[in-house]
Amino acid sequence: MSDQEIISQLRTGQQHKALVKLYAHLPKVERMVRNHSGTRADAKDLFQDALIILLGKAKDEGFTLSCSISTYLYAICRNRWQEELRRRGRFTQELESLPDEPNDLGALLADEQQFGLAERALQALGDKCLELLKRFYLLKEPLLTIAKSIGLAGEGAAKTRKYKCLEEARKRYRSLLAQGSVAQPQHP
Amino acid sequence: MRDELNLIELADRYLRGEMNATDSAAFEVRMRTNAELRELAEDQRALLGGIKRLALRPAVNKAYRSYKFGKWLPRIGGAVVIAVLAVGAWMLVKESGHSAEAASDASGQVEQLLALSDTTGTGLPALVMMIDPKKDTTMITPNGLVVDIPKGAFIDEAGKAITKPVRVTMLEAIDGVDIMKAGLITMSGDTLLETGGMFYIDAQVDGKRVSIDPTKPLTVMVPSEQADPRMMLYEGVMTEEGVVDWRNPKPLSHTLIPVDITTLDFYPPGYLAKVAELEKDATDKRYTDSLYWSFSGEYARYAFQGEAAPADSSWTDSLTDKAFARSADANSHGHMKGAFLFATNCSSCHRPERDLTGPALNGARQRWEGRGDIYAWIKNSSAYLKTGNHYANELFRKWNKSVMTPHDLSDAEIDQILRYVDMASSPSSGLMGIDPAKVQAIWNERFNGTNIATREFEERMHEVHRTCDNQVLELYANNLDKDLSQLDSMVVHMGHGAFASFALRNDGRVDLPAHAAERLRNVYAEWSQRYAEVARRTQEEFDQKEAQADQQAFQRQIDRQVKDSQQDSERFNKEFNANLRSVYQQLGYPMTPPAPPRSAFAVPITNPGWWNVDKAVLAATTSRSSMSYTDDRSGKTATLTYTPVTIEMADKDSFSELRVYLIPQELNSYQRVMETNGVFTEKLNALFQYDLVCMGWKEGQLYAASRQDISATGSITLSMEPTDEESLRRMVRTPQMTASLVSDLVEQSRHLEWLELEAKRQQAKAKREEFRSALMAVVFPCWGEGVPAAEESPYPSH
Repeated sequence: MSDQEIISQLRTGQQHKALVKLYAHLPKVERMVRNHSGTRADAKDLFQDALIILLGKAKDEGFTLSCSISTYLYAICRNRWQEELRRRGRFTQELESLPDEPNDLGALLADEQQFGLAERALQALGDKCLELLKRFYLLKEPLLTIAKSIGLAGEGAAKTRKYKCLEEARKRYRSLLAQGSVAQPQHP
Repeated sequence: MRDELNLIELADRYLRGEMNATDSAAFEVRMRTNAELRELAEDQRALLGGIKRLALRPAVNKAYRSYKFGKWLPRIGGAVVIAVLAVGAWMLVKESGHSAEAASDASGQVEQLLALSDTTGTGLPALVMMIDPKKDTTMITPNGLVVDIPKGAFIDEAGKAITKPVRVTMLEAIDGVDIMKAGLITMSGDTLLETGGMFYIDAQVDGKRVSIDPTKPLTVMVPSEQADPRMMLYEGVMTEEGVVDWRNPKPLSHTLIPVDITTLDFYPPGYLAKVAELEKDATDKRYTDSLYWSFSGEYARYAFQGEAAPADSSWTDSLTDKAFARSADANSHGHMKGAFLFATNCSSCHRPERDLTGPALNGARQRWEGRGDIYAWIKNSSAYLKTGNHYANELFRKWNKSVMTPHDLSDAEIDQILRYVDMASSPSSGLMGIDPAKVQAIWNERFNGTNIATREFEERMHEVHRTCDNQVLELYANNLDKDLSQLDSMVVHMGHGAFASFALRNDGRVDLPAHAAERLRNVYAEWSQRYAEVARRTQEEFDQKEAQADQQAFQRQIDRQVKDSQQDSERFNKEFNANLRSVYQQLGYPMTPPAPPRSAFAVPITNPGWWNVDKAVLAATTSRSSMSYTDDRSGKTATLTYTPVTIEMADKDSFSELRVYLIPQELNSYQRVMETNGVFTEKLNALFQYDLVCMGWKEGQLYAASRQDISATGSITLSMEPTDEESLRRMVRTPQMTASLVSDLVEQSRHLEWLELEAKRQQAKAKREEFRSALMAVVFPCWGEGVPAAEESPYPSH
């Protein structure tokens, strides 16, 4: 599968095969992380995060790659691991970069770091909240439909619940931000 | 809150691009000027990003699992395929020698299976290990299968234990997708099975398959999320079509896996959530433990039945009846109300079944029958003593003349209390929840490695709390050598239907060394008693101390009131005499000083001729109002003048105690100014010059202010300054005042200090009681309304 094929597969609902394929790049990241005071699990978390970023980006119609997918994933992981090492207060040399790494990752990674924290904040919410938020923001279902399927009284109740969920998530997100943590989310 | 929601909605619409250009621009302008709004929109954006990531994560995780399997491409000789279908929490598969026989039949077919896998482009990951058969070996596979190989498990054709290194190959297919890919289908004959995972195991020495000694079976544990009692072990047999058919189902025995007991949660359901809600640190286990254990004291307070742990095995019969009888009792509403009233009014000095500071209350009603009015006695014992009732006075003497504080209770409430105490001390009651001491006795390292230290028991423990029946806990604690499921059924027979679902799970037990169960039974009995005793004694000591403090406070208040009213009536007499003298003078009559009256309301009137005058003066003095009296005979008019004065205090509300006194310079006396509707008002007698003294306490510091000669200036504003007792003494001193009266007034300030401390004590007490009573219903699910409702909140409870 060429990179372009992978991207177009990621774009469709049949991303499974492409994703499995992409895991072939994990060992390289693993090597980099383990050579720099990380564990296999750190590498896996990091890599999965990079996959999520790529997957999210691929869904964007206007997204084009300026380098190979392999480099792209590696660059994301390298950047974030550098960041994590800095956070852990380790004195470390610059992690070796690849020659053709894109140099415009900064803004994207800053965003993604926030999104990552937000994801952790959201994970701590109840199932009902998550269900509601996903249906509303991702599936764009009308509130009334959502209310019916998750057993709320009506549109008004769903709306209130939605804001309460957001409110709660925001609170948690704020406290995560305050901890200044960029640690990886706990995977279920 | 509302505002916040509106803002969130705005930000939401803005970020989702639902605003038109004008609104959108307006919102951006608002954001530029409003940092809070900017932050909100920024957070909201992050959350939307987070939601997107959340939705993508499962696909990534799933791909990881497939990738993991794909990595271990198998290179296998071939042997046995075993599948575990619908797997329970942790189950034990005993694989014995006969499987190895099946292995020889299937060998060729497994090659076929592999060929099948290769054509799909994926295969199952094989885990290959060289092991030393002379030692015990435990392997853990990437999917969490645990394989335990005892030493000497492998035998050669002659049945002799193999000593050379053995090559063990394992395949596992836990995920449905992998199972399909590996060409394994989950059919048994024509029946489709639900699978909890399949595994394959093979052992070879020098390329030759070896057998397993039937007396030393391998043990395979398969991890699983949910328990399903229907799961069985099937043996895989390759059919002629090259498909695996699953045959010879065997039920699986479930062994319980003990975990570190301190990581389990034996608290009543909702306890930690409630503690957190009450803004205490629910993550500090030392704190939550000791708080919970302390409720054993409350348990001792309310649930006093002589409920000894049944020592022999004959408990089952008696248990059932008792359990039913108890639930009937607890359902009566009056009982609970009575218990509550008892707790708040009586429990500091009384227990239903035994003497404390006061006598045991059970049977109190019968004892009073025909001897006096128990209602009047409870409501105000001091007043009732004065009626001279014989029984009341006898009681008073018998109990060291300690005064029972008055209670503001209605007759109906007293009835409920009396009914409660009579019932509470009868052996069939006291159902309120599990005694924390009993939980404490099992929730510790001594019970590590037993049924108690398992996730399975943790689940049951939550239900045990809901039954409120200590006998259920006893049953589990005293039968550690029995299967949990067996005990579950017994609990169902005790009338707790909720345990039926546990009974169905067939949960086994943790095997214990000989006599361990018996030893632990004794440990449990001894320690639950010991813990309960400690908690009970602590609680009682605490209660007694509180009761003592309450009584002393009560006594002190009474003493002060008596003194105050004496002082005030003296002051009244003096003022009355002064008024009378003034009126006599104004009317031009010689003053015949009346004998010093004994009290305000029994002024002796010696001269009938002056009855009217005296009465008018008395009325004027009592009501502190001006009067004018014209004498019929002389035609002269006498007047008394009272002028109102208002005293205002700067920062009045910051003082916990505050008093204002007027000191008439002409009298050796003082007068307290009362506060009505937030203002201190009094009427000044024009005959006297008054000094004004205010004193107050705030945070352990005396404050005071004074003003001389305040005669009828209308409104006075004072501001109090920190001071000490000596300065206060100088402030209040007037030439007329005797030293003892000065001391008395200064003494008032000490009383204020005490009042402040007492108020703090009461506050702390109320706070403590509020905190504990908030927890009562959680710690003891049958206390009050019963079991807390299942979680409705969309938020997780931590």
